[in-house]
Amino acid sequence: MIKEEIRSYFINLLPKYESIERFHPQVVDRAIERALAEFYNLVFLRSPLELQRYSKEFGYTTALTVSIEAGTGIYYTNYPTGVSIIPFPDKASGVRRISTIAQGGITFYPVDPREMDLLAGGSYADTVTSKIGYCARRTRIEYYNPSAVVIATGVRADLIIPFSDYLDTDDVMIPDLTGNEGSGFTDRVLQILSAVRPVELFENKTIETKE
Amino acid sequence: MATVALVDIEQVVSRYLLKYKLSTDDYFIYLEHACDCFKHFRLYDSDQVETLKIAVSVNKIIEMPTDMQTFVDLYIPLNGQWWSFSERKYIVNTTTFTGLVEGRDADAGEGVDLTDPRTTGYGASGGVNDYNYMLDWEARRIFVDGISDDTVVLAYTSSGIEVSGTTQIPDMLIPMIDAYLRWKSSYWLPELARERQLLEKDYNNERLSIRNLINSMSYSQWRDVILSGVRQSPKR
Repeated sequence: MIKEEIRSYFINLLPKYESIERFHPQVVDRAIERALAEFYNLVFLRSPLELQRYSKEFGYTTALTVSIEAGTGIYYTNYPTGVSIIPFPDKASGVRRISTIAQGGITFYPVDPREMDLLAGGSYADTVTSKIGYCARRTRIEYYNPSAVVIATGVRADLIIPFSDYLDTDDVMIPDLTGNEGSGFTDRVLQILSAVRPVELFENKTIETKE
Repeated sequence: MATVALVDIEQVVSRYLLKYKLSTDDYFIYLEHACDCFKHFRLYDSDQVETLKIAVSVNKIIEMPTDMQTFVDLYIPLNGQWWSFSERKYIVNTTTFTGLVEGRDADAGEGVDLTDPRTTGYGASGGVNDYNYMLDWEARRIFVDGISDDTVVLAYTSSGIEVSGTTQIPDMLIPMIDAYLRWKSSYWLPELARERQLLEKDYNNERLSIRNLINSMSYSQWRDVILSGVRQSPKR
């Protein structure tokens, strides 16, 4: 389903105490986003390799730019405008895959900042490999040992992003996980939204105010 | 044509990740351990040595290459073959500076040719070598006798990890490196911790297989050994 269909599906599932709309679409989006992040983490616990199936691809038609930060000399790529990642416990976090524009053998491997410092501080890897490390940070991806070609041509990235960062027309992959009691993603979203109590209305549909 | 006999060490690691369904998270860690494994192989099991033409100074000194880990041999060419130097532990290995210039002081025995009572060479009993060396690991120098201001050939072991160019390893080592990585990863993968001894045994088995392959003699080699030691005569 595309994003706006998913949102519409949940708005229509919600109980209507009155004929007026109870939930703002943004509230529904955030509830879906929260539930989706939980389900992605469940997938991660089952097998981190499965997460790739729920990623969104960026930089496939136009490469993501690799820039250099003047002060630190760090090479990096900003996440696309309006997009962030869902963090996961492993080093790749929400950046499940980075590739060169022309797909060849694997070139990028995830590292954490500590590992990046240790590698550069004297390691065999620093000597023998032409592979590139990438580190998923809060607002950008940083690189260890990027080649001149990669710097010049840019990269592609498969990211796991929050529900609200999808376009309305994007297909959103939802893990079809079901708990022991048969409850799944839909139940979880409705459960989150059920915390919002209905507004008490008078018979004339005006909102009751406390004196 | 089959697959190539030498593969990049990076390829060994990425194939390991593929075979064991591992994430790419620990690639660089596995790469470090793969380099360690290859280095151990070169030191303890391999018959691969570096061969380098190297200068002997007028002071009869060879500066060890920076990548030299262990000494194997020192040669000069003689009639199309290598003639090997002999180790003499008591060659004088001091030098004398005149100002900033390093030299040898013959009065202190430095650089003086060895004089051994000898007959006619190795063909007769009591023969001694005309060419000798003494290893000074602290100074990372080789002091030689019998030659100076010339070029010799040094055979030595290195780590095999190339600082410029690609590090390639024999394809036949892949099962051994895989077993090594599996064993070493038991130190940080909790699910493998209980199997550490089994994994170490796997590695040792693979290592022994390789050693057996490298050191075992072929039929032709055995035949040459036997035929060279017996008198051949017509079979009756």
